[in-house]
Amino acid sequence: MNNMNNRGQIGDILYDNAIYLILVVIFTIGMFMFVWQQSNGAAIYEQYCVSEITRLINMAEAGDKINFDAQIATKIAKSNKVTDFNDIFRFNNGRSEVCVKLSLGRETCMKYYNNVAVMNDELKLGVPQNVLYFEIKERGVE
Amino acid sequence: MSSTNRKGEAGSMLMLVVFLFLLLMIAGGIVAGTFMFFGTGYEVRQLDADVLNYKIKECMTNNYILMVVDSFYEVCGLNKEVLEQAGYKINICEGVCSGNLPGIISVGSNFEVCKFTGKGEGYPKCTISSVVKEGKSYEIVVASLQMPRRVSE
Repeated sequence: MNNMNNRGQIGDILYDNAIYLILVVIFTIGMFMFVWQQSNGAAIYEQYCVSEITRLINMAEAGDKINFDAQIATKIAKSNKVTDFNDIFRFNNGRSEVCVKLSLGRETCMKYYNNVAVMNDELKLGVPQNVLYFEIKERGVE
Repeated sequence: MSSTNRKGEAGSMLMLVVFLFLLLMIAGGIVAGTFMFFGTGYEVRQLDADVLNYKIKECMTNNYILMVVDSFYEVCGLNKEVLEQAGYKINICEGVCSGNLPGIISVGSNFEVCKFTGKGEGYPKCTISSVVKEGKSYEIVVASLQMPRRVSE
């Protein structure tokens, strides 16, 4: 009888504190994900890649062919379970935007002001390293 | 009796507020610590302003000033929408730019912020150069605020 009462009391305590428990679980998962994403370099390396690619496009002229070293980017993406490497680099000519995704769910984007279009982008694997290749064309002739 | 119960409920809600406040404080500490350890981000605004300034200078050197003023974006190969939306400021003045007054070509406003460069991370990074063309001197002021932004897919 006494044992049953104890069980009831434990149940009551858990029920009363359910909202606190849920909040603590959400908070812990959120913080863990944030620190993990920062620690494996995904966020900072996404920023690095997108900034450098944007700068290359801004400095380029129509007809230029560009190779960008993507070895570390693909390595980080693989460790973050990004299975399709074609998703890592994305060019949007309509919005003049470059996006890089090295972890699931989020990507880092930046706009380029040079009035050109990026064409024939392709991630070449093992040449001997992984390389992002793309061509710069005049806007309107793509 | 009823009044006592209400007081009890208010006390429990107050505890929730205190609890949320504590979580926020801890989250703030963890985020600040993480950023201090891994760095806040990749600073690109100064280089961005340098490149844009160089492109404009090249454009003014290689074209007639009248053409540049008439159709700045077409002649210099720049995207108007991006420059206006992504936080760039451009001011090209005959002689020297003074304060907030727009010059012969201007994108954005409040060019005074370039004087605050270095005072705070939130201010844009600026590059100022000058070019002599057709016997006149022009000052080119370029400010960049664009940073890589993390977005959900």
